[in-house]
Amino acid sequence: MNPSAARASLLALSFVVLLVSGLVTTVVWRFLAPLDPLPRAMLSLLTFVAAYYAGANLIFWKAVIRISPSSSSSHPRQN
Amino acid sequence: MLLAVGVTGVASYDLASFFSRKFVALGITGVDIHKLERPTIPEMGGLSILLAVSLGSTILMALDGDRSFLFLTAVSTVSLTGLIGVLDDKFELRQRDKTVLIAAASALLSLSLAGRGSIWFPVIGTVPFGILYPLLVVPIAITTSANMSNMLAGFNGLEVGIAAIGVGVMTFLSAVTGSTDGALLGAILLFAYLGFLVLNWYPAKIFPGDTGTLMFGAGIAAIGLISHLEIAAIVLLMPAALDFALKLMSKKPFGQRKVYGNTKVNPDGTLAPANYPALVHAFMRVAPTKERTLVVWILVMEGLYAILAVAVTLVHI
Repeated sequence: MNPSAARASLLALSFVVLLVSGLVTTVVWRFLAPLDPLPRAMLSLLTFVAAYYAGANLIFWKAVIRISPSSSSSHPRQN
Repeated sequence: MLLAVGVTGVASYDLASFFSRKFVALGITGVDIHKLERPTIPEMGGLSILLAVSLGSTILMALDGDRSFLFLTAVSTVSLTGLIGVLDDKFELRQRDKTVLIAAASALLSLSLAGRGSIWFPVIGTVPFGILYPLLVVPIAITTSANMSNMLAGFNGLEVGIAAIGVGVMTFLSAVTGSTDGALLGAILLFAYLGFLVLNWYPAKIFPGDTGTLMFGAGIAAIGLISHLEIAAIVLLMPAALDFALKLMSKKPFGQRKVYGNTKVNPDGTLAPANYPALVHAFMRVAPTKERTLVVWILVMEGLYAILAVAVTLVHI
């Protein structure tokens, strides 16, 4: 991939992660409608944080490994 | 106001220039590991930003008797966070201690925001936090923002450039939404970071250290809180949040460099990333990238999030 296109795709991917996290949070927010506003908001915010964390690793970093010209030894978790 | 911000910008540049000479003589230096020549560069330059912000705020309060307790507490929180950065630069504080100290530094701001209780979120609407706003939201916002800003750093012009964009946008939005305190604090911080950026841009003559990085994270959060622009502040911190989320996956989230080593420089000047997930490593992995190109692309990313922050805020008001 062209270097500029590869870098631009990272910018786009970061927005995809944000968008997906926002969508998941919206679904959870609607699902929690019976709750009072504060617990509903707190649970929704926790959902956003968890979704963003998952998205960063499962969408963004996996895509980085795919795009990377040398994708060996690039698993994020090291022991 | 113009006098205060002008003095802040000039003072920041002059002090950084002075410290860059003095710190070399005092041995307060570090190696710029992202260059083949590995030059020795003075560190802890954020001290000049801290002093310039203190000077600018003092002039502003002396000339303008209308400045509120809110402004004073926000400046105190940002300055105290800067002081914690100085301690961190000098004594390498443990992450836990740093977090507790920054949360304590936000106590005065919490006090002045005791009457505040709600935050507006896109789609969700206004959420009433009640007493949790001053007790939890304020310290968590300042601490998280400062620490995340401290982690996306380490390249010439990166953290100071992000600070200039982020603080600049918060200043603009505060002015547009009629928050004079937020706009004035933002203007002082903006000029302090711009003055420093002249010497920190590639090839850097001085590093900001934790003093500079912690302070701008606290600054963006403080402006967001006092101007009621919490969502704009969160959006502006998204690149740092992405970096933070990636780093949490590795074995030692707050000390990966001790485990995996540093980024290396190839003979052609391109950067070879250490083997752990991070935003800067993503750019190095997908294409051969030199330091300046890396910094410019991350600043472009911050710029795009700045546009989103402006759009979300303007649609709301």
